[in-house]
Amino acid sequence: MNWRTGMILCLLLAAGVTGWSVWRQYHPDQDVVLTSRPDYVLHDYEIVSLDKLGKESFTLRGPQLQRDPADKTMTLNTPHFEVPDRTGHYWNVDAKRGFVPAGGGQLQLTGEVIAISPPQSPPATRIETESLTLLLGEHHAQTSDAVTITQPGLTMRGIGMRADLDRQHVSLLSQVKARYVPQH
Amino acid sequence: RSTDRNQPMDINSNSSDCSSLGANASCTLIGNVTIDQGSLHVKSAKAVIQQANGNPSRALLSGGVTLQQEMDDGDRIDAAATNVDYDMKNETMVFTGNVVIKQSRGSINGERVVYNLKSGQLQSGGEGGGRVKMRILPKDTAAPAAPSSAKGTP
Repeated sequence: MNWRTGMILCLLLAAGVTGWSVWRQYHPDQDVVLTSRPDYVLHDYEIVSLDKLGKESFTLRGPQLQRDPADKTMTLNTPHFEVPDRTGHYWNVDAKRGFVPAGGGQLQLTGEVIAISPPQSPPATRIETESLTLLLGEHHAQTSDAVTITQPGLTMRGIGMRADLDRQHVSLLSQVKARYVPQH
Repeated sequence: RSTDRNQPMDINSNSSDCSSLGANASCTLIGNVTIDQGSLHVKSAKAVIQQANGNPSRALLSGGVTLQQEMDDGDRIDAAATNVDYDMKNETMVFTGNVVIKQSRGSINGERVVYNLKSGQLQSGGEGGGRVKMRILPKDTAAPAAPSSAKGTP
């Protein structure tokens, strides 16, 4: 193997190393340590989100929130969520887990999701389901799971729901069963 | 029956859309709507249920309605109409459009019939209700005799 072939091999190797390092610069997130560890974790946090007019859009509390730098998502443990309706009274929404996809704008709640209507706006209403997606900017909530809505004397069940928490407008999308028990 | 009114009311449908969750909410139910309360059974394509203080107070049924209910005297009513306006507080039903109501004592056809669930009374016509056709069967009607032909065929 004469010196010319050796020189060519060295040049190829150098080109390969250069190319790899350039590629690494454009994909810093691929660092193994960064992808397995959140870049920040909040404990016992409270987030008050304001809309464009500076009005409270929602308040979010929870024991832990962590952010994943790789895909810019956030996961929340047992989040507690308060959404003001148009009269300024709060819906309370709780779940086992919360997930905010990259870009925010919505919050996906899963695991024993329970929404309770403002006590100041009777009748007391309780909405239960296994998953609920909250569209944060519009105060809308939706799910494709089974839903149970209870009020004094009324129980409504269905599959799939769309709700406007602001105007308390609720649609059950299929297999609706309602039971009224006369209240005297 | 008069006791139906105190029974739970079960309403099923394909979908529902409630304008609010307040005590006086109004819910529109669409697709295979069934309402069952005691011996009262109603079916329709669409129903708008209005609440008053958390209790259902009125049901506007449309798209073809059928109804069955037993009476306190053991009789039974079978009814069909295009629309029914069920006032639950006053316990009256207004049937409109191709109304057919059958009971053991006879039947009523017309464009508008008012049925009082408390008294079992039926009132037809009125308010542009058009013609009414009523058939009342004699009290002790024997089964109608087979027609006997002149030539003694079997």
